[in-house]
Amino acid sequence: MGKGASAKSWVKVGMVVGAATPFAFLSANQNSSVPQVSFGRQVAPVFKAHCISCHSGKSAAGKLDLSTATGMKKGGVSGALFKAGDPKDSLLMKRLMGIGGASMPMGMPPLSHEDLAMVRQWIEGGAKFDSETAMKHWAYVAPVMPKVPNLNSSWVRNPIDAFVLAKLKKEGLRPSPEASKETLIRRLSLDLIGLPPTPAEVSDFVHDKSPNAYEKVVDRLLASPHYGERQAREWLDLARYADTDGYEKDLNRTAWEYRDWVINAYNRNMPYDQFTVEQIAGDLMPNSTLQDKVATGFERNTMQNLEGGVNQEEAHFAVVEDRAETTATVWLGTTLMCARCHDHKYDPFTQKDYYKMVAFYNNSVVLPEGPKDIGEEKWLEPRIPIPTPTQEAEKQRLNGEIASLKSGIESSVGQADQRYKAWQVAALQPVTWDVMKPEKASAQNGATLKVADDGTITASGANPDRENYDLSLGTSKSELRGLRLEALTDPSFVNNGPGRADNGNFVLTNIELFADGKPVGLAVSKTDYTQSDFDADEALVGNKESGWAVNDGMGKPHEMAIAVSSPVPAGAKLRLVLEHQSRFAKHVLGKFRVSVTDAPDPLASLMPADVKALLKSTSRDKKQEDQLLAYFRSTSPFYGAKMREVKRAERELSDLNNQIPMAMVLQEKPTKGPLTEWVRHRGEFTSKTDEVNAGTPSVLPPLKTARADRLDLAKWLVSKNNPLTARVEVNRIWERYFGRGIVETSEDFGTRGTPPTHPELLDWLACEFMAKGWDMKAVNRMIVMSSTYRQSSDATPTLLARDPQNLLLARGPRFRMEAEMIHDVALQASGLLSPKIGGPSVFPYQPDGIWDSPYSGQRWMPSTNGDQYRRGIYTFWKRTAPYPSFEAFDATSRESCTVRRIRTNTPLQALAQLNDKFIMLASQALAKKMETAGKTTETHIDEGFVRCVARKPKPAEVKRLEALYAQLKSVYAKRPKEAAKLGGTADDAAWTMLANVLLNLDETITKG
Amino acid sequence: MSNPEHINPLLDLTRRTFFKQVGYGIGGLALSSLLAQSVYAQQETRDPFSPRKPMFPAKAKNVIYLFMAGAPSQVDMFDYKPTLNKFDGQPCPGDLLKGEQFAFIKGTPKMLGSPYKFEKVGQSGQELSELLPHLKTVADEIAVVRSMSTEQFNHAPAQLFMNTGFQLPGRPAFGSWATYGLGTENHDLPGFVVLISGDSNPDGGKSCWGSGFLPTVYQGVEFRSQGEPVLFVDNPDGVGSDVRRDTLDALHDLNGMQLKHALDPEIETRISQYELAYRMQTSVPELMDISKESKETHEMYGTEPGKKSFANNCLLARRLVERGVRFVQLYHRGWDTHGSDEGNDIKHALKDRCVETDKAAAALLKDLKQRGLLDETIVIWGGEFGRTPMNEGRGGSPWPGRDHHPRAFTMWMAGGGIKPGLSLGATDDVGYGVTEDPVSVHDLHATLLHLLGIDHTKLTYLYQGRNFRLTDVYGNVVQKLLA
Repeated sequence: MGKGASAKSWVKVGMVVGAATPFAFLSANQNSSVPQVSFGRQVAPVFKAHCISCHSGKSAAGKLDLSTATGMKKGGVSGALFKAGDPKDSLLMKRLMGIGGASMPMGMPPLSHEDLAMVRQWIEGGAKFDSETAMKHWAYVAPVMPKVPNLNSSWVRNPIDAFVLAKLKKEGLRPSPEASKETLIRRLSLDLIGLPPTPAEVSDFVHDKSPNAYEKVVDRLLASPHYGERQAREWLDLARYADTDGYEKDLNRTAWEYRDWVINAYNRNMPYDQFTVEQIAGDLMPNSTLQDKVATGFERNTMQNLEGGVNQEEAHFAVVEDRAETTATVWLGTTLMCARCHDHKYDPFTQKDYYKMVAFYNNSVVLPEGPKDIGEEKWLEPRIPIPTPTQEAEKQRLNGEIASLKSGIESSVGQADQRYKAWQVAALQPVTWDVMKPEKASAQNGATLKVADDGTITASGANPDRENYDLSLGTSKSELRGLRLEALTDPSFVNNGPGRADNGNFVLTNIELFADGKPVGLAVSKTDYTQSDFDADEALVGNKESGWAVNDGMGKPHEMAIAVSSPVPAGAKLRLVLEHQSRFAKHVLGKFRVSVTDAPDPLASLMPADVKALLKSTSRDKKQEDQLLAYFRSTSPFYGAKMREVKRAERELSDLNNQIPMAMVLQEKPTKGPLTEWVRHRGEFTSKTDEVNAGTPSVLPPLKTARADRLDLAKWLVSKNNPLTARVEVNRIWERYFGRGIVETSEDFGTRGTPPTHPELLDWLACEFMAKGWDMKAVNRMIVMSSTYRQSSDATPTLLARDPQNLLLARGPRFRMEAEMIHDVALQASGLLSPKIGGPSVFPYQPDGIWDSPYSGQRWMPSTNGDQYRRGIYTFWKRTAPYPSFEAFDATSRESCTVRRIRTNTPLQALAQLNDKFIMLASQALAKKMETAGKTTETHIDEGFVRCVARKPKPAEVKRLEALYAQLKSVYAKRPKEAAKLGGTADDAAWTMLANVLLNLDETITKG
Repeated sequence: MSNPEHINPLLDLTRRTFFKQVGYGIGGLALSSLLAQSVYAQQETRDPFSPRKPMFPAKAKNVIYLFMAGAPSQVDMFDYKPTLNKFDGQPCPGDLLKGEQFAFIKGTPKMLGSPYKFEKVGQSGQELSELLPHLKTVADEIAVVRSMSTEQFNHAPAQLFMNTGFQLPGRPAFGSWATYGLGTENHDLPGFVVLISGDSNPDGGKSCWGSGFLPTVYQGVEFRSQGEPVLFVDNPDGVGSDVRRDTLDALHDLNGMQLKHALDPEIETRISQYELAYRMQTSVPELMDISKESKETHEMYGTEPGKKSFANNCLLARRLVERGVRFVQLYHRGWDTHGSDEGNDIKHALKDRCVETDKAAAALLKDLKQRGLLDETIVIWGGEFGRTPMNEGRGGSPWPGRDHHPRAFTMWMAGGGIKPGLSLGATDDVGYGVTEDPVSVHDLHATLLHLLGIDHTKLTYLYQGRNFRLTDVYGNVVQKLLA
């Protein structure tokens, strides 16, 4: 090739580039021997940086695929890419120089002259491919620990700084000075525990002159139990954690055990590999504990479509797909969902890869429930109880008690025979009931009781929801062995009663008998009728959930006979208390009468005819004998008392079980062969094509297991040769501190994502993370200890023009906080915060009418007792109606996995932060803190400032706020009624509004 | 692709980060149609709502979408089927059921004729049922599309599909795309407003007007009939407008001091957003107060100030577009006439819904027309799918009702660039399937965007590595619908 021609071309390039000097090229080119250019080390990185985003994959522009050597050799629609040895005649050089056709990279500045020269030399040297895989996208090649730049600078505190400073130097920039101590402690506190520092913490740090003062704060915060809350917030977005099912009815679910698991895992500094395995496959781990199973709530946080008429198999498949896609997003930073309908258009993932991943998830247990024939079948998934250690111990104790009580009954068989025989005689004795006309009958809650001459007692007048009767029955004439209660009808009640409820029913929940003031044990009862699902005996032990009730038997009199545990001698003064405390309103006895007896078996009067016939019969077969024995046991005071003990213990156990929180978990079906899944043509559920085995994407290191399940998948994700997992996680951690990841598209590490701003730093962090055993606190500590992190965030005009997005990190991070943090800052600054960690989600104040799902009926019930002032992470998360101020500040609906929340700046945010009742409550509380701090207006203002932004105000700021205070005070002095609405005097009102201003400062809601 | 090694604010503005760098206030905003070298997106400025010129001359500026959540019965309102009436009570022919999925119908259902009379009205001869006496009076203004079909047959997914072009939550709503593409013309009000009447929120929830992956500034803002019209727009008790002004002045000054040394453009944006919030505190209550409308207007719509009703919302819709709001969407839920009890059959419930909506919808068209707004406003009426020509009879219910039916249903539209008086499409003799001029949901979206001056294939947003569109990879402009 002739030198002249090539020199001419270079001149043209010089003109295009503008800044480049053609002469430098000429001289470089005059070197007689063409140096060997390596495709892998030199050319490929340039193509990857400038060309491959358009020229790769299924939809490669101009059908030119630069991602493989084959593709490059083949060329595209415009023909061959290059002619080896002849750059002048190579299409590649023409395009790069903009000669005779489109100029590449299209719409972008041309390549640097060095790069152009290098490509040219490579073609001149024969366009040899010394590496077939060099064009592999960087993120799919495992990171290798890079060498830390040796800069010999006192600014460099750790390798992070070395990488950042090396780059700044290259760009001719310097780092910004370190931020003030006030700024630093606020930044640290917000970043590590999500709360601003208290005034005392600020003051302590400012006055701590020891060399490790900063480090001490870092370690205090890393050890704080609030650390986990702060870290978990972001993970819950990834895990699409919510407290409702989503979709139409959007019913409530109990999911918080998983949320607490995440918080605890961060607080315990669980290594990230374990953190991963437990969440994906905690149920499959050897010796899986309850908490390991709770971790699989990650997978269960998917939405669930319970709308009537929905094909549940298809709905469940959508859940399964979401699980596979979420795993790919969270751990692989990969947009696998693009491969649901067809091979990924840009990244090397096939549709088969997609369904191979889905196969891991389509073998979990589902529990169909409800009638399919009317379209109301629902595929539910497993939930398990998660008792606390105390609850677990209590459960053991009660189970033991129940077992021993039951065995006690069985072991009395010998004596039982005697009792049985005695009863057979007693039960045939006639029962004479002696009516007790009360001397006094009173009702506790306002009903009027009238006693008639025949001893009947009738209630009238007030009809409260719950009512207790207290009857002084007078003195018993003979020994008391039994008691009878007649429930009687009366036309004054609905359906003639016997109860006063709007259907004539009653629920007698407790009966207590006293003889001379001492309680008498009531052993067992029998009624002529008790409604199903109710147990009259429960009234003998005072169970509010049950007792004697007679639904479907209204309008007729009924009776209940009770045997006492041991006879009461004649002459005792008797008092009877009847309680009606069920959850059913006005279910109170309307008309009734009380009698007593000395018969040996008081229950004999209610013996059914068939039992009586058996008793009288002289020849009973085995079956009849068993029937009679069973009846005896059910009415015997001895056994009745024992059985009731059992019932009581069982009830305590069931109450306890109801209190034990449930967790949603994933369970695997015991499938033997490999897990398989159908590839669905165009992603349509019903179009099955090829069957594939569970497996991982082929572009990534292979999974070496014949029959792989979720546990294998999880272990593969955190294996050290996986090129993505560590990078993706350290990038997300970085993003939390700097507002932007080293890879900005933290959700997409594919070819369409943004390339890393500091690739070596990313790889160093990833390698270090793995080398140090996936220690999450260590990574966080490393970042906050760096000089990079400690820089002031103030920009200069030059810096702003040079690097508006702060990609180079020549200044500290400054960006608006996330929704929950804004909430927490208001709580902490005002002193309202309830620091309680974990437990069921809470309902802070929310405007009316936000919840309105069809077919749901569920309502927002504001929390009390300080729970209305819990951290934002505990706010009940309803998918179709998120907490309004969170929604305004860009919180997502948690319908699917979100890696990055977009940060907007809108008038709705201003309205929420100004006017939300929650903010007004915080303003009032903050005002109180301000008013009581010191004695002057200035000390009050200082207090408010420090609480909100951790620094004292500057004189100009004080002056401005003093002016506002004077103005507001004079306004409110004229409007005492309005002042009262803001919490008190004109002074209080003025401070409340001043506090409102402070909570709205840009600085207050910004991490700077 | 940019090479972050060389940061030069002038040269290195890449196609994909361009807007991020200039649009400080709005995060990842990027009309990536710039990728296609369109000049369209280059009008982008720092204000996400600033009005933008359409890609080509638009027929309409605004949209009012009357969303009949629950799915109205087309065969009782719009699509007259004498054959269906003839077969009333007969078992459904087996070939109609083969391979079909229904929400609730089991076994072989019976055909259900319509109890309502139909009539051809106006010069156009639109055939409408007696359920719609008021719509009949504006029959020549509307285009009735009897050949709509959808892919979803349950409420939530179908409503999401109709609004976002996708059946799962998480994609931007039509209104979000429209405001993202065109901005809005009133800077004291949001660009996309949602008004709700009927028995509850729609089944698809707030995702029906969510902005999905677009910046949240583009999500629909619900204006509420009861309580505060916009959440938090009212000053708290004890805070007068003058006090609010005083505090905002102080806030303005203090934030200004912060801006001076931090030099963060976000502060500047925040200052202006607080000012806009203050203006909304006046403009929103003024907008929502319909008491000053004339007596004639109230009579025409059937409005009563202070009531939560579809009629009030129709009048508000007119007031909103009058003020330059780009996209107004009304939801009226309660059309789910399964006939599983008296409260949801086609004899009672369907009639009630028509009484609630017919007069006001017709009034809206007349009112827009008399004010010269109909030419530049598209009005759309419709649900998320249709209803079966068969009786559902769930659990042997004696009440006549129809199951969900995605195969064929009717929508009507009017105004800005829509051919008035048009009857488009046809269904078979019983109204089960579309036989002429099928229109898919994506086609509908493509057509409406076209009327707004937007090529639906070029209105895109880069998210998770892919350029997303409202119409996904589908959709054709329905030329016959255009005036």
